[in-house]
Amino acid sequence: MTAAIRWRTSGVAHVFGDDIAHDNGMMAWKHVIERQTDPDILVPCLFQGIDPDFAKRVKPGDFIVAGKRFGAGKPHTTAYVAMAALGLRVLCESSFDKVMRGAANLGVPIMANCLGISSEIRDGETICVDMATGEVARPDRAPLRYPPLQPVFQQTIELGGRAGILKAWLATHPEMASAYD
Amino acid sequence: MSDAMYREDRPTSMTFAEKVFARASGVSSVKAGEGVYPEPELVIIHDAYLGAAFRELSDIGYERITRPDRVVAVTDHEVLAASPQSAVRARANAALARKWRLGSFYDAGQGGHGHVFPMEDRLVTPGMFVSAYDMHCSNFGAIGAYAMAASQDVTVILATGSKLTTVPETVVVHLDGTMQHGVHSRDVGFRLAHDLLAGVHGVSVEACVMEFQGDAANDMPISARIGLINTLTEIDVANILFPPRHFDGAAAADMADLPTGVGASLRGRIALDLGSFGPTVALPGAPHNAAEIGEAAGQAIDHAFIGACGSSNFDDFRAAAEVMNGRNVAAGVRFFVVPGTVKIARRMMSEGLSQVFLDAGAIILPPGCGPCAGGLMAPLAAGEVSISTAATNNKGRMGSSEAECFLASPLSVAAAAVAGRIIDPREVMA
Repeated sequence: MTAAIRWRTSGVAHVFGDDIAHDNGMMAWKHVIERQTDPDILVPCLFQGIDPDFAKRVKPGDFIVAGKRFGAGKPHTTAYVAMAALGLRVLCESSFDKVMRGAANLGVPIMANCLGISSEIRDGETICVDMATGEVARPDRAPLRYPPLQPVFQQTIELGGRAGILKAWLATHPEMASAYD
Repeated sequence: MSDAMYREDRPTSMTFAEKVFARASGVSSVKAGEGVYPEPELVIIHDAYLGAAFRELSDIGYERITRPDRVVAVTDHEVLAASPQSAVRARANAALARKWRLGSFYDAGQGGHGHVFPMEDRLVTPGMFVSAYDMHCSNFGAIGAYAMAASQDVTVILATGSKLTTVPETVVVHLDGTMQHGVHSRDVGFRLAHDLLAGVHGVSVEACVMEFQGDAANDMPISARIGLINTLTEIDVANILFPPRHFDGAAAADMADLPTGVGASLRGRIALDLGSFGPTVALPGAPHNAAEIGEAAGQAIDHAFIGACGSSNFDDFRAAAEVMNGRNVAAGVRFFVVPGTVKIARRMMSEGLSQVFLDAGAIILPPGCGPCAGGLMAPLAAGEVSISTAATNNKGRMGSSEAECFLASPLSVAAAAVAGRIIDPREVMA
C-alpha cells in the first residue's frame, strides 16, 4: 500500500523566522482546541497569527522555510491538516521529534537541520527541493545541500501517514471491521 | 508484530528505558536507536480526545480494537461541562466507552486527573510500560513507570496494540544536595529546562530519556518528583524516570534492578546540586522561560491556581497552605485550588485543608486539570495575568490569547495569591 511520492518538487518559498509556534502561530487556538479537521475551514487560517495575508499568497506545492525550533510549544497538528491539503513542505533549521512525527502522519514532510536556510532563501523566490537527497536549488545562486528528510518520515509519508497505516492493518485484519460478538 | 532479531553486539547492561522496551516488545534485549513494537499494558485517553480517537477509527471502518480491556478512559479536561455542547460530549464519551468495551471509564467525579489517580489506585505501578494520548503522562515516571506519549498515534495503538517506536537514548541526571527553604522541585525544573535548551550542560536531551539518579532523587517525595517531571516535559524529551517507588512512598523492591547501571551506553551524564537553585518563575510563553522570581516580583496578578497534573498532590496543597499561614487571598485575585484526585480532595477535607483554603477566600474546583485544560474552566480575560502550577503557559493557554500566564511552584503561587502580586515566597514564609 506504499504510494509513490515525488520527493523532488518546485514551489515558492515563504520564509519565516525562529520559534514558529503551532498554537496561535501556525493555527488559531480556537481551531486547535475545537479539533477542527475541515481543510476548507483551516486553509484560510494558516499562519494567520504570524502573517495575516499568508493564505491569499500561498499556492499548492509551496515551501515553508523557517529558522530554529519550528513547531515550538505543544505538538498539536491542526495546521498540518491545512498544509497537507495544500501539499506544502517545510525546510527549517531545527524542529522537534514530536512535531516532525505529527506532520509526517498527516503527509507533511519537515526537513530539519537545514543550517542557515532562512537567510539563504529569499521570501517569494521559487526553489526546487529534493527531500530524498537534501538538495535545494535556487535561482542565480549555487544549490544548497542539507541532510535529507529522515528515512522514517519518508517511510511514514509513503505509507500514507497514520491513516494509511490504519487502513493497511484493517485490510489484513478484516475481523476488526465487525462489531464485538 | 515484533520482529526484532537476536544480535550478538547487544550491550551487557541496558538502560532503564531499554529494559522496559525489551520486556514490552517481548525480546531479551534492545538498544537505543532500534525500532521496536512495544505493547503497552495500559492505554489512557482523556475526555477531550476520546471522541476524536474513535471517530478516526470508525471513519476508516473499525468496529473493534485489539485490546479494549487495556484501555482506560478518564474525565479530567472538562469535569464540569460548561456548556450544553460539552454535556452532550460527556454523554457521548460514556456511550463510546460502552460501545468499544473499554476496560474502564472514569466519568466526571470519578478518579480525577488521569496523570495522577492511576498511580494512586495502582493501575499504573513501578516498572510498567504504558501509553497515553497526552504528553504529560510523563508523570508516571515519578514511580518509575515508563509512559509513552503517543499523541494522535494512540489510534494506531488502539487498532493494532502497538506502534513502531524508536528506543530512546538516555541521559542520566545525578541529583545531590537539599533544596533551600522556600524552594520547590518546580523551581529546579524551570531552571533546568531553560539551561538544557540553552546548552549549559553540554548535552542535548532532545528525544532522550532523562533518568534521575542519586540519593537526592531516590529520597525525593513522589509529589516533588512529579513537579520536577512536569516542568521538564515540554522540552521535547522522550521521557523522564525516577527510581521505582510506589505512589504512597512504599519501596518497589521487586523493581530495584531497573535503573540504569554501569556499562549501559548513554547519551550523557549531568550532575546537579539541588542546593544551588532558588525560587524561579517561568515567564509567559513556555515552561523553559525561567527567570529568578525577583525579576518578576511586583507583577500584579488577577488569577492564581494550584493544581493540574504536575502539582495537585496533598503535599503541594499542604505546603501552599503553610505559606498562606492564615492570610486571606488578596482583593481582586481569584484563587483556584484543584486537587488532583477524588481521594486527595477527600483527604484535604478530612484533614482540614479545604477549610483553610475556603476560609482564605479560595475557590475549590473538582479534581482534574482545572484551568490548564485550555481554559475550559475558570479562564482568563484579555489583559489579565495569572500565576499557576499549570503544565504550560503558551499564549492563549488559559483563555484569552491577550492574557499572560506565569508558572511557579505551589509555594510561590500561594505567596502571590495572598500578596496580589508575584513575590519571593521566602518573604512571606515565617
